[in-house]
Amino acid sequence: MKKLTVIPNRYRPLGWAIFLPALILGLACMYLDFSWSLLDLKSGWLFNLYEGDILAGDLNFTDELAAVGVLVGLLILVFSAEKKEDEWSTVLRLSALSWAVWLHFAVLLLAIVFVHGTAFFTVLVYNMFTLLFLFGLRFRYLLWKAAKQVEEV
Amino acid sequence: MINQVKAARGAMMLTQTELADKLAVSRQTIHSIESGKYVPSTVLALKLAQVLQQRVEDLFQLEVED
Repeated sequence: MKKLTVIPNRYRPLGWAIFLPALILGLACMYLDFSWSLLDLKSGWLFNLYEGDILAGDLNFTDELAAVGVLVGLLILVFSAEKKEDEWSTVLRLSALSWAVWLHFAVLLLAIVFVHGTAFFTVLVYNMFTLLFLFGLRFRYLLWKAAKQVEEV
Repeated sequence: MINQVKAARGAMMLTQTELADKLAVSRQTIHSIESGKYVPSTVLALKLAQVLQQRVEDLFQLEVED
């Protein structure tokens, strides 16, 4: 079996170093209305793809920085190689990814039907990260289970 | 698919870790193959046969339901 393209294992600490502070920053932005004045962007600094123009009006970039950090950190964490990456870990990785996609979209479908208004916006914010998060958790669980079964022999 | 990897490894007096090291895979991979949870790729099956000095068809056999 051809191995999946993964990041070398040595980058995993970098993933944690990006993910954890970004997660804390993101939660502070969401629930404490935290923003860094250092990241205040004056009108005309940023291109707005939706409007197709330079962004008119001031913007604080703290939540964007947190979201980028969480995503980049998660990507590094979930796609960094194991110390011994082989075809069995590739199979576990694909199995975990498939499980995560099913669960992620099941939750989204339920939310579309049963969650409305601003609460749905909150669901969408979390939904940006849940696929990678669920994938990472499931993959770790499968690895742990496999290692435990070997120990029991 | 049934396999004789565990018996062949025993005959060669190899531990799971030693066999895993010879094949550059993890011990979990050897365990999952031996316990029938995982059917290895053709490449790994050929490597296993080479290290265990067996023919691939002696190491792996199809079952009726396969």
